[in-house]
Amino acid sequence: MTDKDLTAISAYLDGELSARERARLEARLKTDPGLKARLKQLESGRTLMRSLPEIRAPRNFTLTPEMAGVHSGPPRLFPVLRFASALATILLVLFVAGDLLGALPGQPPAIALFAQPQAAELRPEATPLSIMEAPAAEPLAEPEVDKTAPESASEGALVKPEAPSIAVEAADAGQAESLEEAAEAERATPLEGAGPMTAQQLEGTEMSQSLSAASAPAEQLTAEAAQELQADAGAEAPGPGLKLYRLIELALAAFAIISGSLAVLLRRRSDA
Amino acid sequence: MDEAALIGYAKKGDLDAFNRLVLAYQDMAYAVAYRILGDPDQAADATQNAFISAYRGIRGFRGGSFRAWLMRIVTNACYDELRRKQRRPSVPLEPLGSDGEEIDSPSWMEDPSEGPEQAVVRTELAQAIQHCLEQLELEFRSVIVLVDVEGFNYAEAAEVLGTPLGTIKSRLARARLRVQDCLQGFQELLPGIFRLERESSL
Repeated sequence: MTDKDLTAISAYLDGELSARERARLEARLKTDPGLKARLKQLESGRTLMRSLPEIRAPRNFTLTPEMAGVHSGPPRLFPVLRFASALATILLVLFVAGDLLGALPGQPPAIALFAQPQAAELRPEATPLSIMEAPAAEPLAEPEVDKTAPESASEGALVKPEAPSIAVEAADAGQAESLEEAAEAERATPLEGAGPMTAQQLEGTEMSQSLSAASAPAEQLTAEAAQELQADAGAEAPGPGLKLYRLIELALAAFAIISGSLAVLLRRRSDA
Repeated sequence: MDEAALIGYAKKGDLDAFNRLVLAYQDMAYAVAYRILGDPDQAADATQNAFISAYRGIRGFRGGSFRAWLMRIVTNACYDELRRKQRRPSVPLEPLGSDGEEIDSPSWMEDPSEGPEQAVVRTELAQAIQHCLEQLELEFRSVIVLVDVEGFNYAEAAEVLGTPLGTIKSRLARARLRVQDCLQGFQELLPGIFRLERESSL
């Protein structure tokens, strides 16, 4: 008997043949006594198997909590989340401290940024200063014009009314006089070496010379003003490094909050 | 509470609900394990391990036949037990007790409703069948235990064993033939088998 025939008669016993297969096998059983004998043999064996006594479990196999792996305490994930939250908080504190102390290169300390309101206050103060200086500068400018006129009358220098704004960077009256003398000395040299100049060129030269002849206080004020401008520039347009720093701080804060919240939630669920 | 509800609660971690499922299926689970392993202690270990695995993996049950899903875990536990013990397929004709002596009538074979002659015949027959089952290779033994002993249909047996339907058909046919041939050798020792066979066919 082939395996195929054996499988067919075995499936026939269990009603697992299709209608077509069953019809074909039944036709063969009528003409093949060997096949029929094997069918009866299989049927006897199946009957014996089904006659086996029912086996009962010798004991209960119900699970205890220990078998089931039920933990009475917090779940395993709880300490991981708790540690992650603490670590993120520590890193956040370090980043904020570094930010306040100016750890990021090329950036002013955050404390300096807090001085922005003071810098902004300086600007209104600078304006009155410029106004104060302007009247002082103008008399200075006029004597300059008066002095230079005899020296180069053909050149006809004039100081424009723009001097008040330039005088913001100028010194106080007493120091400006010494500057005037220095300016004259500087002016003399280029004037002597230069050929005939137009009135406008001379005017521009005198203005630039008066600008360059600033005193030490003027330089100090200039430096302070420059710092204010720099601080303003830094505050108005933060670099990419600073942006990344802020993003890291924000991410650490969010991670600390989320992991801490999850840890508390897991703890409450395990206690419930 | 019906089975679907118990399964639902068990999926949520309700151990009491799962243990009610254990009580409903432990006889079948132990019977399958015993028929495959042939040893009561190994069958008990495999059954317990199977229920532990079932509880831990119950969220993986996606519906369908819970019985088939559970018996798959039981058969896998039996395979693991066999690999661990490296047990030989042949066993004594009669099961051994804890003292190593052969047991004439194991407690799980006793039926208080039948007479002594019937009990002896039934016990001897069961022992003979168990002996012939254990002569089969594991994959043939599993199929015939599920279909002929426990009454699974072909589709369920295929699901339990993770084999195609055609493979189930061919393996069952060959297992039946070999058990039948094996039992023929007990005819001389167990003439009562034929009497029992005639009574079953009536």
